Amino acid sequence: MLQFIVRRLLITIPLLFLASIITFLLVANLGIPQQLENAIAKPNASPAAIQSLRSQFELDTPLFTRYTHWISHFARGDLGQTGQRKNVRTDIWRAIQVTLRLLVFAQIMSVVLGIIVGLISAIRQYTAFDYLTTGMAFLFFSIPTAVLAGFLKVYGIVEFNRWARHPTMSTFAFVLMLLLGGVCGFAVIRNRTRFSERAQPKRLLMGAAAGIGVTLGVVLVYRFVWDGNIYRKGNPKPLIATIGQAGDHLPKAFFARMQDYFWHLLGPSLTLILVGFAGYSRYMRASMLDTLNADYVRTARSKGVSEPRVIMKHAFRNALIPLTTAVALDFGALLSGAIITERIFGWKGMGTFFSDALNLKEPKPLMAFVMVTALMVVLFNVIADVLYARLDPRIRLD
Amino acid sequence: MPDKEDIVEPGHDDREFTVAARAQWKTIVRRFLRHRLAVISLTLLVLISLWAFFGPLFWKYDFAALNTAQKSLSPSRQHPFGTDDLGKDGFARIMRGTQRSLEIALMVSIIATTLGVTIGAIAGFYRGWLDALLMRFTDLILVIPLLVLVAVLSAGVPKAPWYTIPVLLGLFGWPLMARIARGEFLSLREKEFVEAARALGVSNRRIIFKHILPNLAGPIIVNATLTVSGAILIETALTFLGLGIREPEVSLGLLIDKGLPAYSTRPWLFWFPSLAVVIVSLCVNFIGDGLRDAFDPKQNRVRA
Repeated sequence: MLQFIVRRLLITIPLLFLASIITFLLVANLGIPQQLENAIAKPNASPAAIQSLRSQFELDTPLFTRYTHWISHFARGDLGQTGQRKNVRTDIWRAIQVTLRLLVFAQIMSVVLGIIVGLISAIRQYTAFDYLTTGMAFLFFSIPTAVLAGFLKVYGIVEFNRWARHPTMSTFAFVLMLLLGGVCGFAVIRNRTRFSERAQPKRLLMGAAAGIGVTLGVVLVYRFVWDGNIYRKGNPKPLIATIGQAGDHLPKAFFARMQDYFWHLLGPSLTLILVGFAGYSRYMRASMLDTLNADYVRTARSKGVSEPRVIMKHAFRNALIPLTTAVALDFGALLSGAIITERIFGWKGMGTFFSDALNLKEPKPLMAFVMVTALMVVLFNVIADVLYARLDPRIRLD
Repeated sequence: MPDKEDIVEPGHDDREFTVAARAQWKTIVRRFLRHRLAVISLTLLVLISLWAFFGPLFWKYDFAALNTAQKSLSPSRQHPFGTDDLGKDGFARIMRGTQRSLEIALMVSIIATTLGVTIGAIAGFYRGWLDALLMRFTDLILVIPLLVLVAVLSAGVPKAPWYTIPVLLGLFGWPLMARIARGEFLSLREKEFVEAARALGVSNRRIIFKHILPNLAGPIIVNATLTVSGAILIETALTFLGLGIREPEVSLGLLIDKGLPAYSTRPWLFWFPSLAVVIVSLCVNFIGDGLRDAFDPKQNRVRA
């Protein structure tokens, strides 16, 4: 195993090396950095200042020398400096920490959600739940990240914050919630049969009544016990943050800081969760259906293994194998989504780091960003291979 | 896979008149037509395309025409999708944007599919060092996320015409298709019918094009369809970063990018282009789903 991992990692080195050459050419193709362009465009630009900037960006040396200089420093862990003489490594490290917080949280949530939903809709294939989640998955699959993030921010969070300031409930909303509860209760019972079949009306009515009852209980508790006073009316800060990755005055205490992180995380991670969940639930459903139809599952059933055990031990475990690889290989797409989401929610992470560097045409930060991304993609590829081999004993590594 | 499929109609004992030979593509069309959502989506997409391509000929406003007297109007009979802060008509702009977005998506899909199938076919058929080389090349392109790669490339050509974006996306969007085609070629080249063809002395070229490639129609068409919806989304993302389509050219991504900051004062500028993107890409995804079921009915398994 260890030998395989080491060999697999060694193969990636020439790959990363080639990627660095290509990226270096692409970055050189961007033209001169914005800072130098601005200096030249100044009406009374002094030639000495321009010359010093040129040598700072190493534009006075040929491309090849510039590349060897860069890669010899990169191999030693030195990512160079920006035009403002800021250390790129500290900058990108800060950005990575911020983005990883978002990506890890969103990825864990969307995988868990996707597995649960995919599992249920495979077991209850062609029920209302299956159709509903399939429709949702298609919708979130077809929405551009920018639209979803913008929509959630503008019409979800901002409106919710406005409501949370004066949390009242009109009679109309009250009736609507009761109806929704009834529909949910109805759906839970209805979901035991396929959509095309008839269900027992008596049990359906009981389910709907139970749903209304539960909702009524929740609303009454809200109205008379809690009264929606979670959000202090004098506090000018909105409850769910829409801008930035953390508050301006980050509390020192651990739990207070985690709370601050959480409220900032909610908006952007919700965007990524919905997009990720759409893909993973479809994937999980398909692979679960595959295993449920496999011969060994039929064998298990005919042996008399109980249904929950068949589903969890025989079908579910094997259905997870292709999903694991899909999740590990998805890193590039995830990061692309994060770039857009960060922009909309004003996070100062990898996405902002990249688009700032691209706008300023700064070579060193751009190279650092692409190399860090490529390294992560390669690492996740190796992880996918290893996981695949660990989970599926039929695959041999050597 | 046989070219013709013999279907025996059930319930008839007299087989002499009931054996119907049906071409394979006819079965596929029939299966596709049974997928109701896919058929509705296809109809809707055709209607949207007609509207986007021929609508501008009949509509009274031009997408680029300024009208300072009619700035920031909310939707009305005169301007069904409102106007923006320069008085440009929203309806005309969305028609034009949809047209451009569809053109971009189609271009990306055609370029990426052609490249991917070619590279995958060569790698899978000839194997050996060529395969190894091409697959390492594929890995290399996959190492950098497509959005990042095309963003850096497109920032390098500041005054590029609109079609550079789809060309770039197509030139780097083929690895998935190549991997699928390679896998299929690797398994099909070992099949008996290829062996038979080879025994008859059929040339490699003829085996690739006449014997193996027709069997790949399913995966190719399905993947090409999914590339279309992917291209629409990635064009939106690129333009949102300011690196895709640029004014005065119009695409749906550009309209969303321009509309989002104005959500509180002119929400219609955000709503309508977003709706257009979602509808178009939903339609394409449903068509892809229907095609997948039509080509490979085994995939959509009904639980035993």
